[in-house]
Amino acid sequence: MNRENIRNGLLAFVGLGALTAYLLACASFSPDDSKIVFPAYDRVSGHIGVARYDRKARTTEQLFVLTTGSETLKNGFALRPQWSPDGRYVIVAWPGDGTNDTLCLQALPVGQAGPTRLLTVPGIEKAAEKLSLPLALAGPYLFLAGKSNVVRLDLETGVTKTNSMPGELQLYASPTGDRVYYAGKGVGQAGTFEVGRVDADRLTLTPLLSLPSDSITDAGLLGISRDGRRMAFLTEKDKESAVVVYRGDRLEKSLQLGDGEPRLKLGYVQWSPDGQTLYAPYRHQAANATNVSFGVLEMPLNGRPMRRVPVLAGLGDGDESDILFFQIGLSHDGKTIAVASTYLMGDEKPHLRPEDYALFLVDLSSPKRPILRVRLPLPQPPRAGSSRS
Amino acid sequence: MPGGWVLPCCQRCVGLYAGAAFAVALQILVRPRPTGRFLKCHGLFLAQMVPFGFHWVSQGAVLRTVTGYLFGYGLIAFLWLQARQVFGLSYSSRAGRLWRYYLTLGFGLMTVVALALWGGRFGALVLIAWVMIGALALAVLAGANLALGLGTLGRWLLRTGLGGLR
Repeated sequence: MNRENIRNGLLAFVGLGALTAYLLACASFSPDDSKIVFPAYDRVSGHIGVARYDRKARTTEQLFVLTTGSETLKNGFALRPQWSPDGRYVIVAWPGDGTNDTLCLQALPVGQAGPTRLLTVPGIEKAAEKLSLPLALAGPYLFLAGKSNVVRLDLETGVTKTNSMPGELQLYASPTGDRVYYAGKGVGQAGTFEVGRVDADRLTLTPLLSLPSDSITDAGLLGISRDGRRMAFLTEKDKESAVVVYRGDRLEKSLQLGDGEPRLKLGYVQWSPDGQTLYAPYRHQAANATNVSFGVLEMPLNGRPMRRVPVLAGLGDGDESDILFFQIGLSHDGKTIAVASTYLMGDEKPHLRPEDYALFLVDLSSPKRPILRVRLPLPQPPRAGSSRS
Repeated sequence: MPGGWVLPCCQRCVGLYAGAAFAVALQILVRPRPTGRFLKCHGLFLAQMVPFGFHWVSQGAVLRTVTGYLFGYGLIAFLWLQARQVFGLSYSSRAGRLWRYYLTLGFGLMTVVALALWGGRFGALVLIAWVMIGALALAVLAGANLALGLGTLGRWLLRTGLGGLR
């Protein structure tokens, strides 16, 4: 063998080795829908925390438990877990104890070495209410709407950058995790509801759409398509509710929610990856009924009829705002919806039967929409003086 | 997700396979001679995957795609050295063709990133096609190199008698 052949052979071996190493390591580089994080009460202490369900292993483990703070906080409903866009961290957010203008965050490394980071962000007005929506995570940053400002938090360094803003904003991450949108009233012209993009570096606003504010029922129900070109809102006119879809600033479609369905309440809208279907959690109480049902409403944009997939039925009355505690997550491949019934527990009237305290996975790839119920261990009875007694 | 379409692999892998597709085409059309400088450059393309792959460096979607793209070029350059013999391809004797190679490398990189960011459904389809071509090319080259390596090992064992076949 001459030297060139030996060299070529060795370099080919290096190439094969590099390719092999890459293929073996690739699964850890991006979120792969194999694991789901959701709020769950700790079985031992009864305090709120975060659990992780492994879909391949079919096992559930508690990742995080909030053990400090007041009983109201530890037994409450305002803790939100969410994957970072690159899948390297599980971000857990909760409001500051005894104050509603501080947000606490913990970044838990997943499947990799690295420290757990604890971060605190002051000056976030109504921090607990802000956790009713997914965190606006984009890249390595979390974006928050404070009191007349926008705050960008670097999750790895804890450094914040702030820019003043008019009006009252809600922030939304794009489903791709690389852009942030805003929506709010009083941002642009008076009497308008404005939607636009947030510049991640300068924290300035670029408006994309402006609507009469009295036609939008709730700024928290904005759903953005994965390509960022279409938006869905819930509107109400003459007591008739509809989901409207805008492409840019042009109304593309209006989906009526049915005749006289004032008792159908929708939650946060999500888009399918192909942009052909909207999904939203619903709470429904039939006329003259004393119990309610929760489920997933599918809204095809191609003219096909809407479809309700019931997840929980026959629950106690509760309140219309309970829909905020029944939030769905759509997998990146669009084939599964996950929803946990955790926050429908407790309060003055327990909503759930023991077997309904679970993580539910709706299989969207099957026409029958089978639901996998992952029952969760019931937490210990709350201690005296807690808000869940 | 250009145009809302879910690509078959992650951002880095899209870059890798698209880069491999471009690199294979260049190896066939331009036939760059593997000079020392050429090999060192592509060795760096391989080595840069270490800090980015292990997330020692903060990175976003674009940088992940770029690092994957360059890694694809590095893989093809190294895997092509022996495998070209299987396909009966020789290197170009013309000096100065490398500038076409690197120019196309840069143009391809910008195209891949642009399609991923702004290409919509068309971009998604093009990227999917490049990913498939690149993955197939890598599979063929890996197979060819494995076959050549095993053949060489077999001949050496026969020659030295260590294979116990004499």
